[in-house]
Amino acid sequence: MNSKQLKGLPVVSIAEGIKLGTLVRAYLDPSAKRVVGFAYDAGNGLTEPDSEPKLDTGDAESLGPDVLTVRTRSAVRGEEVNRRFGELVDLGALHNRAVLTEGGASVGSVGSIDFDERTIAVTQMEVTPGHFRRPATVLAGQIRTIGPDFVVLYDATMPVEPTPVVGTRTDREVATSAEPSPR
Amino acid sequence: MNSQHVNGISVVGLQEGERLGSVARILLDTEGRHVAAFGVDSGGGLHSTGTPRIQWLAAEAVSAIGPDALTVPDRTSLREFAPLDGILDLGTLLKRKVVTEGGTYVGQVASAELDDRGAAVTHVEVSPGFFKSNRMVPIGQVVNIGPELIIVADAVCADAVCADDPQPDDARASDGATAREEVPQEALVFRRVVGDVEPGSGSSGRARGSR
Repeated sequence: MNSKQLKGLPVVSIAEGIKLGTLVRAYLDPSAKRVVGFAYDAGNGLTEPDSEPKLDTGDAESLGPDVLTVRTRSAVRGEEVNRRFGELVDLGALHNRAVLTEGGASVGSVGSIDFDERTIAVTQMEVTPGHFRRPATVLAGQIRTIGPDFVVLYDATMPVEPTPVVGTRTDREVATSAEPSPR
Repeated sequence: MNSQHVNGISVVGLQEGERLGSVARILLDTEGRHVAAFGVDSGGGLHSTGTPRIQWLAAEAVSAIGPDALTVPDRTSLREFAPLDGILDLGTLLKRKVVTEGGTYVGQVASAELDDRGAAVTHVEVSPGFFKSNRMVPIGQVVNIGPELIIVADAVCADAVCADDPQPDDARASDGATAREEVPQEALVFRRVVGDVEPGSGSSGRARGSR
């Protein structure tokens, strides 16, 4: 799943059969490179103290292309997100963050991030080099640091392979594409 | 890489993925051949009212210097005080006059070339003046860096046109006496500063007391 698909995704309670809200944020653990939780718009308006309740990935039943499901409304606790809020990174805020190699060379900026729907781990990141150049893909293992100002890549990652033009890469494709493909 | 490229470049901590500041100063060792430290301006942003806050980064703490950033392992690489062996500010060398041991004016320091790790000075770029190409003087040909002048070996001007040498397209260049008459005023000034030049020695004159 791509990070750009998350915003607006409905949050649905299976037991109550109701929509609890829509996803507005996803929170990433930058050191583990894993999505830890979400925040959703419960539609309570600006006057409510918590108009964006937090939801841990452990609270969720499943994350699909169209809906995020929880077993019941009461299952939504968001304890981990609330406890670690200061150290987590808003996935949306990562978009357009500068990407740099260890050697001090600018690669571009973050275009989007793919993560596994089951493990919620980051699998790859799309890097936009700039105008008139094709976006490139960086595997999660090639990312050294996700910081407040830069995403730092290992020097050994260069050159970065281009993103396929069509289709969605499955987990198998990602796993077998570790070797750079000959051009 | 050129010192002008390093000045102002962003300093990034690899551990934090954070911009720690930008290079504001480059300190050399006493001989001016090695970089001792970089002064990093941590900055205070637009709302800063005080003087820029400079922290110091020892040259050996640098991970890499790339085209877009200087990287360090983490924030702890920065220190409050500069290393004791770094006392020559590269910025003060800019526009310092360069003369040969023989008393020939070469030009003014335009910049310095550093090695790929930014740890050593490899060349000093000297600007002879308008309408003349800059010259890269290998650091090995720098004899002395003084408070007013930088002395370089005579070999710097051996195969090239220096400030007071006759111009190649000057029809009267072969006449040594005429060449002396053509000596730029600035070169004469620096002959007086360097020391007495033996009379009649022209562009190959050696300063009194030189080796």
